[in-house]
Amino acid sequence: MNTPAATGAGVYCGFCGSKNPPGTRFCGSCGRPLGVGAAAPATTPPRYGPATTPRLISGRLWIWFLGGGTALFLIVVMAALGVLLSPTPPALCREPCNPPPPTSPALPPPMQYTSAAYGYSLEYYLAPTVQDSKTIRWVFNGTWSYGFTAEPAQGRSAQQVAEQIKQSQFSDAAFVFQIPAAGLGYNAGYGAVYDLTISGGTGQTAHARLLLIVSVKKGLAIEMIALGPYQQQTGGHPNPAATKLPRMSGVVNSVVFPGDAPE
Amino acid sequence: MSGPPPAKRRRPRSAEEPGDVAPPPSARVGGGDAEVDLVTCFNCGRSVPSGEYCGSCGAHLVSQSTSGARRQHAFAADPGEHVLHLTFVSTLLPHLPHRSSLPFRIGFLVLGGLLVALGLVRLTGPAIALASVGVLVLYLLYLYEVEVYEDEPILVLAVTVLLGLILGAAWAYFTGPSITQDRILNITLGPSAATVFVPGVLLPLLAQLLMLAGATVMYTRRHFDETLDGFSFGAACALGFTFGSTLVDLFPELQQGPFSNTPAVTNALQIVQHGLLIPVINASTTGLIAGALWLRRGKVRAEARGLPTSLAVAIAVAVLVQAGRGVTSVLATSTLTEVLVYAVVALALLVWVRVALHHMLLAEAVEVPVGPPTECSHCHRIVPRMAFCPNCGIATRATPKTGAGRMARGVR
Repeated sequence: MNTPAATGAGVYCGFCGSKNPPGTRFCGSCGRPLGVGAAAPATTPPRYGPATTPRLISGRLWIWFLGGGTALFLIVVMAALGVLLSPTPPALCREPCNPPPPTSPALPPPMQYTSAAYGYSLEYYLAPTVQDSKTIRWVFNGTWSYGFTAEPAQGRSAQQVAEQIKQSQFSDAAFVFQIPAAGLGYNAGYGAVYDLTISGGTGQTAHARLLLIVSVKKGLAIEMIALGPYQQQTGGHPNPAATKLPRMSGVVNSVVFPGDAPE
Repeated sequence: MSGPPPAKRRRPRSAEEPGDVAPPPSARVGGGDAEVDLVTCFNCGRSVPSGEYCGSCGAHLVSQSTSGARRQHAFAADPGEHVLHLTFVSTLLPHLPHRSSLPFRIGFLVLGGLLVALGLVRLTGPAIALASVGVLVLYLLYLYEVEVYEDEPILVLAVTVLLGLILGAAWAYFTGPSITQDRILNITLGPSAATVFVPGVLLPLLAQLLMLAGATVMYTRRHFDETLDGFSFGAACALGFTFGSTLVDLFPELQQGPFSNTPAVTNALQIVQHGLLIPVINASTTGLIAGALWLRRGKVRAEARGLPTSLAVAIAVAVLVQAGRGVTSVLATSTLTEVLVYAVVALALLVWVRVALHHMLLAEAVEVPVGPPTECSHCHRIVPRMAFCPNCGIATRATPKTGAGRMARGVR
């Protein structure tokens, strides 16, 4: 049986055998009642009396001021850093502007790419990273890219195609300016430059510029997409690799639609 | 044989605890002369002081049913709320008494409002600062308010928040650029196994391991033996880690100048993502694992069964959430899509954390000793010191470690 055994010095628990002080009603070790038989099931709970009027917080308000002050201090520091670290606009070249003399060696003969799927072609110098039946693309520094692809225009204008590319692949990009008289090869088109901040839940924030040029002819849309780091020094144009860009820039002018003769 | 069923084992109290020499819990309560009747709990079968809740197992005595044992209507850390009630404060700050939660609720609202406002005006520096430090400051205030660290504030804060901060900053510095590089390649060249698995799955899981570093160190401090200790240490370390990594990840934004070029709405979404959603997700997953780990201290807590209290389930949830958010980040081409996914994940995770904490606190009750009448720090009534307040049903281990809560635990 679970009857507690009373001694002169205290009460022993009938369940676990622990010794408890005289007059104790619950065992300090196992928590079972001492000297209490089977109790009645609960019906109406008793009301326990209030002890104190509780305070909203502990009363140590200084810690709240300290926490808020620390956050405010950091905010001010970061705001100041934002001003201090902002890039200086590049010095404009005074007239007459003397560009440095070209130091690159003479270019070798270009290679030819013809899209098996859509028949458009272009000339290039550097080995591409991706080349398949409809796309040719170069990746610089393992990240930034420059390339061409094509798709049926399906009645859309060059501007509509460009805006759809921007919306589907670069929806966060912000329009900066439209390129006047943009085109691919000797074909008129639509071109625009966009601002793109790549800042997701993981990874370091990167600030980029996106260049889209689209030309539409004979129901085919040829698209040029270039994505490069934002560089204030170069006027913010996408510049995947400054040392290689002079060779790449010629590619745009060599784009030929299927059936057209190279200029 | 008649009589009540065998009692569950309880940890013997240490000799210096005041309960050893104090009057029995049911002697006089309520400031009046009436003694409390004893009733038999329908759930645990123990004779306990009459009240709305069983002081021993936390069951809702008035219900007298299986649902009363689970008491879904009364969250163990804040019985005024349903277990599935969606709220930041009582979930992530479970020690906080309901009345004291008001300043923190206001704090979270102000933080959210400021993040949106700073994002919309595209003020880069202050937005980054607030996104990095906002939730952490509120959490530090919470730790101070309830004194989770007991008498070792410097040690606890150094091992959790400071260690997390250093690890987070180093982590973002070394891995941030490569993750971004893979994200850009996914946008322009299309996703590949390497550019999705490494930045989307592998690295987030390694980051989760690092967030647990502080809690793992604290695990060696044996006197921090409550499940909510583990949860709080895990969450603190995760918030320190998030602070460091967010600061480093967003720092390049400052090079744009005082104002961001990103469209206002996109900027606001990104700031809210960094300032609220990521800290909540990281604190939840890390706290969940640490809480489940703490529940298994010693032999007694092996009695804890069930999915919500399982360590394996906590790890599985964390892996699923961290990998899911990692893959979303490297594949999403729209900030709106990414933030929506993060928000849904964060809210679902909050609900799961509440369910898990509720069951952990119920399972942990088997260890809590019985003591003298003391003031409940939640309902502020004088009640017998037990695992749960017989009057309001709050778990004693979810009360602050200050004042009445400290006395209710027995002074260490």
